[in-house]
Formats: sequence, C-alpha cells, structure tokens
Amino acid sequence: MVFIEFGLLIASTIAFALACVMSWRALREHRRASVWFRVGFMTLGFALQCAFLSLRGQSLGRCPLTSGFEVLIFVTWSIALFYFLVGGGYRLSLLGFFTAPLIVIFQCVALSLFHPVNLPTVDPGLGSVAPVDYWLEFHAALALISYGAFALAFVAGVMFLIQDRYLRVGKTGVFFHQLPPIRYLTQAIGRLLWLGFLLLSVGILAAFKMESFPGFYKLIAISLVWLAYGAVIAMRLVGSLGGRRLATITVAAFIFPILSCLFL
Amino acid sequence: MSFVCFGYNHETASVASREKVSFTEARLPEALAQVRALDGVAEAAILSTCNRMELYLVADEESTTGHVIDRVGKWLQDHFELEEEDLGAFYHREEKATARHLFAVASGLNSMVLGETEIFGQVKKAYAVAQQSGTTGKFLNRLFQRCFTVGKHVRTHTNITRGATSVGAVGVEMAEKIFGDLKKCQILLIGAGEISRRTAQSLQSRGASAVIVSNRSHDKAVELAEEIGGRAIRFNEWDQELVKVDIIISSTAAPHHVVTQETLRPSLKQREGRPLFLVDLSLPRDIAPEVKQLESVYVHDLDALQRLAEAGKERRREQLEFCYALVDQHVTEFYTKVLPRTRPSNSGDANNSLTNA
Repeated sequence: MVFIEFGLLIASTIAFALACVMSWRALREHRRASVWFRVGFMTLGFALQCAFLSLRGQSLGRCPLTSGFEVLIFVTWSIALFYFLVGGGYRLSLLGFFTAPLIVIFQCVALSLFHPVNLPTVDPGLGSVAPVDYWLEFHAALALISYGAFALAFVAGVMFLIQDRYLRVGKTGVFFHQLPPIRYLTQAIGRLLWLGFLLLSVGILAAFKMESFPGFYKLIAISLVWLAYGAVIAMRLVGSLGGRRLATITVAAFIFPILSCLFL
Repeated sequence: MSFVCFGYNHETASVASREKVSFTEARLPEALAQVRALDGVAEAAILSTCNRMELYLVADEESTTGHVIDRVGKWLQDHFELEEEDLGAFYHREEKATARHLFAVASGLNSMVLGETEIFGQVKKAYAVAQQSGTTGKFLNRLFQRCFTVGKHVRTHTNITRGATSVGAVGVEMAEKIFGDLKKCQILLIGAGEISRRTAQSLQSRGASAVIVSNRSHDKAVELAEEIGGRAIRFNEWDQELVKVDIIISSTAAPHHVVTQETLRPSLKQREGRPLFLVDLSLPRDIAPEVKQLESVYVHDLDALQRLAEAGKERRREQLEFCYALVDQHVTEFYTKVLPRTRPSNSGDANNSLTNA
C-alpha cells in the first residue's frame, strides 16, 4: 500500500512538473493549445494528490497529518485546490504558470522526507496510530488549508510585482500579455488574505477545544503566522497599502507559513 | 475548374490608384453579374475594401486561368477606364496560391495593420453579397467557408492579433492591463487636442463611461465634452477631480509640467491605493517624470507609447511564419479532403442561381 501511495505522489509530482513545462512552452511559442495541456496536467496532478491523501487517510484511519511529509503534501494539495478555485473564479491567466513550480518544489521537499519504513499506518488491532481527536484534525486541516490561500496570495503577489514592473518601465516582456490586470490581482490578493486569515482564525479557535495542549513551539509558530497576516489585513483596512506595497508585503509574509512548517 | 484571384492591395497600388478601382456596396451586385457573365468565368466574388480590391473567380472547365485573367483585366480596364499602365498594380494568383492568398487575407496576414480583424468581417460581407447575387457556386462556397475556418483558427491559435500597434491602442491596452474592465473607469482629459479626443474615444469604445474635459479655453472644453458625451470643467478645477478619476490624458501646450507629485499627492491618500493611469501626449511633457515614483501611479509618455506600438508590430511580424504554416496546412487539407468531395457540375449552383434570378 505504501508503495502505491508513493507511486501516486511521484506521478502527481511529474504531472505538475509537466504542467510547468507546458506553461513555459505556451509562453515561448505563443501557442494557446499548450495552455490546455497545462490545465490538464494540473488537474491530473490534483486528482493524484486526492487519491494519495485518500489512501493515506485509509492507512491511518484519520486525517493524514501525522508527519512533516504528510503536512507538506496536505499544504500542496490545498495550494492546488485554491488554484482551481481562484484561477477559474478570477480568470487569472498564468496563475498556473507560477503555482505549478511552487507545488513541484513543495512536493519534492516532501518526497525527500519520505521514508516508507517510518511511515505510520493503521494497526488493525488498535485502530488508528493514535486516538483520534477530531478537534485536533479540524484545527490542523483548517490551518493548513489556510496556508494554501496564503501560498496563492504569494503567487498573485509575485504576478502583481512582475506586471507592475512592466507597466512602470513601459516594456512588454514574455509575461505581459498573459498576466492579468493589476486591479484583479490586487482584489485576488486581498480576498485570499482574508480567506486564509479567517480559516486560520477558526483553526486556532478549534485548538482551544483540543483534548491535549498542541505544544508551545507549534502554538508560537502558528500565532506568528496569524499575527503577520492580521497585520497585513489591518494595514490594508486603514488604507495605508497601495497595490505594490500590498503585493510586496504579501510575498514577504509567506516566509511565516514556510518557517512555521518546521514546527508543525 | 480552377481558382483565380485578380486584384491589387495597399502594397501594390497607391491610394490614387486604389481610388480609381473600387466598388461601392450598392454597385457590387451589378459588377458581380457582369464579371460572372464574362467568357470562361463560372463563379465570382469581389472583395472591395479601402486597402484592396480582389476578384475571386472560378474558371470553367473549358477555359484556362490565363484566358480568364485576360478577360477580367479587359473588363476592369473598360469598366474603370484604366490605362494600360494602371494594370501594372494588379496581381493574380492561380489554384492553390488563390486559396492560400484568401486564407491569409481572412486571417489578417495580408493587411496593412498585420493581424487586424476587420478584414474578416469584410470578407464575410463580400461572400454574402456574392452569394445573394447568385455568382458563387460549389467551389467558391467551399473556398470561402474554409477561409472563415482558417481565419478563426489562426486568430485563436496564434498571437497574431495580440498586442497593440498604434499609440491610441497601446494606451487602451495599458489601461486594460491596469484596470481590466474599463466600464467603471473615469477619464480626465487635460487639454482638448485632437490626440486626446482620439485616445478618449478609444477608451470609450472599450467601455470607459465618464469623461471630464478641462482646457485653458473653456469653450473648447465644452465643445469637446459635447462631442464625446462628457462633462467640461474649468482648467483651475481639474485637480479637484483627482480622487475620482482613474485615467488622466494630458495634452496641453504648456511649456512646463502641469501634473507634478505635489498636485497628485493630496489625492492619493483618499484614493485608498486605487491605481491611477496617466497618459502624457504632449511635448514638452505635461507630467513631471518623478510622478512615476508615486505608489499606484502609472505614467506613459509619447515615447513609451510609440516604443510599445513598435514592439507590438514586431511581435506580430514574428508570428507570421507560424501563421503561414497553419494556412498552408489548411490549403493542403482543402485540396486533399474538401475539393475532391466537390464534384463539378455543368449546371453549377451559380448557373442555377443566375437562371433563377
């Protein structure tokens, strides 16, 4: 079973890598057909991620968030999920071009942590690897899904800064025509930040219902993420952030979820 | 049955020559009937625009393409009272070259502004008129129907239509890259010159609704505002509109900067980060260069717009090879798959239509 899961993950990573190649080809050769291949490979990669998480969940008898490896895969899954939700909803072309490499990097890091021998599985006699605390699962899942929203906000921020540069310098590079208007990107960043922040807030509130204390470092790490994004949203609300500053801060703030993964 | 194309375009004929040989829409059916009645012509369609006049013909089975070209040339000479040397601007294509030419024309590859899409509609109209006049038959029907498929294919599978190629269009493109949908955008014109008017109209054509005009001579501002459906304000009042507007087009004859950091800064806080796009169409420049440094403010002057327009043209030229490869694929497919299924008939659709007419 473990090797089937591993195979699914490898296949998913390859699909996302192919999505990267197709995106690059579409840009270089100006062929729109490659865009459909990119979306196809992204969909395939996501479907394989879903299959992996489903099998892992069955193996564990609980939400697959028991190791750093699983946490990273869950985060990449939520990034892909938000890509499909946001990319379609906001018609943000090129979102996949920037999202696919991020997913590939995260999955490669996850794969480097993969040790089949140490991978926990359900013991038929005992049930799951540990007693299931549903509040813990709810807390962890929501927190990591919020990371997906922050990752997409980071991607939209990078896109904004590239487009902003083109518009300021008055030159049109490879991305110019495909990148969405900066107003749409600003809106997308703002909404993703709000969504991520709300999910994370609910996730943190859920932690208070958990049967056991989640651990000091974990709590500090996740609180810092919450505070960082809370500060960005507050600055946005008081109107002191223009599009460029918002994008810059959003890109920089992504360091908090990344670093926090070390403590989860 | 052979295809023939006979005509001129902007590359082979001067404006003076093009003026001499063109068909008005009202006279097209009559001209088509006359061409169709010429010896050796089985089917005919005429594409007449300001940049080209082309006759698409099918020679009947008994006639050679050379014979048809001679007959049509003579008819044109008589019809428009042309001198022998006027015919020097005309070119002709035969068989596959005709199909290739029409496919390229419908795709905008043969247009003065490479990749423009207006020609597609003009070809459609030319075909519709010929069809209604009963001068097309099986062969031209298939050829034209195929050219519409090719035109759509080239437009959607290449970037031949992408990127603006004129200063006005670049301004619009930049605005769309900042705001997306321009429907909710408000425009402020500082200066009521011709180039401002044209740029504002380009933006209006893409949905921008509210236009405010401010000019040193208020009468001129009122005049332009009335023409483009906007609102005129006095020249000393335009800075009060800065909070509301999204796009400023400046084209005054002032010898100094009209828009500076100091004029914009007070409004920026109230704008709450909303982007502001400034287009400077004057020389010397109206907008101080340091305005570019302000957060959420984008400035483009004439130089930048012209540079972008040139880059747009170049990018389209780079697409030509790929576009023609697609066109050639369609020509091959047309000759190997479509035409063999088209059986020549002596009575022909065109003949029937003419008889019935």
